[in-house]
Amino acid sequence: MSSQILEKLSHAIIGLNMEEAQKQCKEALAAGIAPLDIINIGIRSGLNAVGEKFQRGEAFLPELMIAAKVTEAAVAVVEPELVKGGTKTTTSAHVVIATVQGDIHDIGKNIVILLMKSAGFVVYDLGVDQPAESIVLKAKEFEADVIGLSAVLTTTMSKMKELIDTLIEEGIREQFKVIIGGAPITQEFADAIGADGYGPDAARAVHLVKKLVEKRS
Amino acid sequence: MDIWNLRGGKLKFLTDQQVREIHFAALDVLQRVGCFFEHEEALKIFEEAGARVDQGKKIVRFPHGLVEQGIRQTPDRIYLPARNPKHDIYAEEDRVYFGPGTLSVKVIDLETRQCRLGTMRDAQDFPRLIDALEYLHFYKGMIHPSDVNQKLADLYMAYGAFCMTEKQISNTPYSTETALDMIRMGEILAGGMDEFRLKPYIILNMLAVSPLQWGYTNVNTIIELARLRVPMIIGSEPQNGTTGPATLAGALVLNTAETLAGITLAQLISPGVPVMWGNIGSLSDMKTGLFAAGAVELGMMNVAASQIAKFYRLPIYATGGMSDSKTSDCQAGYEKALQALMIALGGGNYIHDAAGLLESCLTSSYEQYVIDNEILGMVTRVLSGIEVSKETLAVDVIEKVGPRGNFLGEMHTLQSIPREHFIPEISNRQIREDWERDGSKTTMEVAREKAREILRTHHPTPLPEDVDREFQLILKKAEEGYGRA
Repeated sequence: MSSQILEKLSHAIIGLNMEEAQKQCKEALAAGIAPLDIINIGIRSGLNAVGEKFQRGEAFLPELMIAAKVTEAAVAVVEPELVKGGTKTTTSAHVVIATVQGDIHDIGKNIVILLMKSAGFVVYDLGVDQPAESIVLKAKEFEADVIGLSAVLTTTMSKMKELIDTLIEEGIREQFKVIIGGAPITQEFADAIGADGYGPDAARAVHLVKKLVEKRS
Repeated sequence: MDIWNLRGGKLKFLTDQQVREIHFAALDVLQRVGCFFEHEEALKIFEEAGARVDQGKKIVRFPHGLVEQGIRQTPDRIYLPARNPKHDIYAEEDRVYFGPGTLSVKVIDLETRQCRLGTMRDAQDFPRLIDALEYLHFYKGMIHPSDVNQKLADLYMAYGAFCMTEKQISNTPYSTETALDMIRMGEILAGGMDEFRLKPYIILNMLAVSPLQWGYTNVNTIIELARLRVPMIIGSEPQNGTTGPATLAGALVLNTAETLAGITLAQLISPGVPVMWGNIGSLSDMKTGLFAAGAVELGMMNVAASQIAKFYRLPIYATGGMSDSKTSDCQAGYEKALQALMIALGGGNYIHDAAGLLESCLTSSYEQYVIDNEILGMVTRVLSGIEVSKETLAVDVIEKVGPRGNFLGEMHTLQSIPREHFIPEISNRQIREDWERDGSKTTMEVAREKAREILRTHHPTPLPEDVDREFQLILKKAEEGYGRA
């Protein structure tokens, strides 16, 4: 019975059906399934299936984005029960993410945020046009594991290095993993400025965070 | 995108007045200059119908009325069924279809990359490849097999086509005998001549030799096909500057006059026999004298010829998508894309030579077919146009997303993709790192891999066994009869 509900839930995510996903979450809770199982077995397996389809080139990006949105809405139904029960989610990655100063492009960043959230990370979106100092300030405040920086303009790429320099100056470089992304960014550039990683697309940014956090713990 | 409901006709180079001027100029040429017909019976038919015939010089001069009467009898559309009805073609008005064509003699070998003579294997593999390529609607015999009886090469080509594609078929006959045998193949498939007239499973094309010259074989074949009352393609191929005037309008006049002369003959024999208007004209390169298949002017003349054909209410066998390049390079890409897009927008109906050809149509290339299929996919997208409706105007979703949002996660986006976006199969849109990781492949390499994959896996439904046996019997009889050395 419970496995049936979780399967239906997983199918609702794959079918991009938000209403159905939320309904199945409620039924799963009512059936007494552990909130963590609902998220990990029901919801995330559905999202993973869409993610794999996308990786194989069989799904368009909007499908993945909508699945992530449905996932977020489904998790929102289960989360209060999770908090009540005092259980923590399995992943612990806290990510602070921003578009650097001088740049107001945010679609790429927002895609990354959505996929990170649906992967279970705690994400703090600082928005666009953020100076290095305020990003560092927020990273400290939220005790972030990872700082994610986005830039689309070639002219604002240098701001990424400024942030890393700020961390070094303050003597806290080792406290954070810094990852970068955006159209003009390359692995070479990431290496040159001493970033910990570069995500060429949103899905790989999520993998990158997982890898970096695993290493750390 | 509904590839079976493509409509062109948005692009025009001539005003209605200019079309009529070309028509009248062609009538002038036919009355004042006339046309050479290397065929006694044809000369007799013309003379009896009221044309001025110089039996010694074999020149026929046409009164306007004779030509105009003939062209008025032709049906407005030609239905061309395929072995698989989902590939049926309705050549009419502004409907657009693409296919290969022209008898190339050489092939760029898919494995060795060497340019070699075409073989019977190619005459089977090309139709099999084209059968699997989405944006090619029909198959026209396009490779001359060098390893069969050369008198019957076209018949073998037709046999290869019938066996290896379910798409609609066309061919260029080398002789009247082979033409009649190809029709016989279609007749067998249809189940009798009366059925074949309603379901003509193959259409053949006969061309004049510019300027103003109809050779014996093609005239003879027109006469025989007209007597059978089966559809045919009649056209000509002047080359501006050598076999035609250098001017575009002048070449159109010549093409019109030559084509009208051929159609008049068919209509005198069999009033109402369906004919398709043919234009394959291009430039001769004025530096070398060679046929410039990839000339942009070919596209322009074919658009104009489509307008002329429509003036006569005839479907057109148009030409476009060729190249003079020796290999699948940038030149091949731009020449083909420009021609194909132009003639499709011009509403060419049965657009042949639209894929696979290189080296001024002397060479065919497997990978080029795959590349051209992508070009034709893009052209197909263009023909599908811009849909304007409440749904596509998208005000609701613009409101939902609002300032500073994005459209990526919207159902409206996902649902619009198949209708609105052409999804390339071989074009590369990856980031550089990924492209490099995957081997930094050029379009040609990707296309070659796809061609190999299709040839490895794609096998159309074979001909019914009894039909195949009868086809083989036709070949055997031809080998023992008129095909003997």
